[in-house]
Amino acid sequence: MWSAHRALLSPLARGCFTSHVLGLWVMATLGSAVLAGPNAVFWSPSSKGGMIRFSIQPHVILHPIASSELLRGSESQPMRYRGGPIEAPQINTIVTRHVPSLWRVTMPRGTNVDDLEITYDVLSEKGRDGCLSLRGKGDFECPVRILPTRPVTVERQDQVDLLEGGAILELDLTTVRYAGTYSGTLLISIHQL
Amino acid sequence: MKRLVPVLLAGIALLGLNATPVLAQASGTVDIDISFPPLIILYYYSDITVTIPSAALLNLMTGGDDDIETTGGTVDVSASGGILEGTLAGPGTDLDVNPADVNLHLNTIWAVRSVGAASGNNTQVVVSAPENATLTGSNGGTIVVDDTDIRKNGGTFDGNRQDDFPPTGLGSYQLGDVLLELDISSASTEGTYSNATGGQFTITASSL
Repeated sequence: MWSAHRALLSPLARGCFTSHVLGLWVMATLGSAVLAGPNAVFWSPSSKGGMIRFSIQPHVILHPIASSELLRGSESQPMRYRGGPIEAPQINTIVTRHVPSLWRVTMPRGTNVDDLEITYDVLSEKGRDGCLSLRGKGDFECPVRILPTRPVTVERQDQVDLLEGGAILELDLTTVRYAGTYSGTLLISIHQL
Repeated sequence: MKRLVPVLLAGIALLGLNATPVLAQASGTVDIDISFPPLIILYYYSDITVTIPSAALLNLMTGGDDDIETTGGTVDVSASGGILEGTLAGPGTDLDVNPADVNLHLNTIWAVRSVGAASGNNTQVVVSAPENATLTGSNGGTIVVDDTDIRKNGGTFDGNRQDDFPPTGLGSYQLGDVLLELDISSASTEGTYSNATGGQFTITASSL
């Protein structure tokens, strides 16, 4: 529950909306991520009238990186000698994870999805923007880029629409030298224009 | 009292207007985790043909000279059976390098990319070979590989057949060399010496 409370405090401090914690335990596998933990749910008045209900996954465990994502063949690669020094072939160092359902928002029926502005900011353990960091060793970082996906309407009810949004996380492993769990905090903000 | 009612109603209406937000927004945080396993990638040659030019071999053995003179010498001759015969001490035939102990450095023969479990020199490469592996000449003769060693580029061959270095990360790699100690004293004919008896040379990379 602490994650949910922590997620709750920041928007409350801004004083821009009232919020509630819903003790809903979710354990689901979506795309390439495991979402675990209670949903944090916030309410905000809509600028178009009615209320917006914004819920977020407080903890996302991405699928582990596998060596097969980086290599084209086996871990030992025989090479034919063609004269000159050996040159290690390039490998794939960009790995992506699609998290299609990071947040959900319930909006008054007829709200245009294009009126929503969603921003994503990821911070490492030491607060460095655009990075995850090796747990317990914050100096070792892995750059990550957030590519938002377009929100989709997942359910229509009489008075409201339920929209869902996510993102593609693009991790650059080029400079990563140490194995382990890389962690960070993703701040998601939704604005209704 | 009658005048107060419209004033209060107007005040409530104003308060209501002020409480309506113009911009709706919400935000929250998501903790993200992803695990990255230790990883080692070894790049190596599956087959190597080493060509030793005669000039290189001559340079190694004699400094490049193929007509080596020995200065001076007094020859006493004697008559025997109608001829004069004299015997010299023999010209100097010493070589600069013992042909039974020729070091062949094969530089930049392997490469390793590694993601380690912790900091420190925890990526290790080891070379192993059959003892006294023998290469047989196509026209006769043999070359024996007496010993091997391994080093990273810029390191030293220290005789222990292994070398350790920090993880390189995936965007970089460590290049390295191998030493073969050859006994070419029995390589009596030119040709191709191949088919090491007893197995192959093996380079192994691992995470400590």
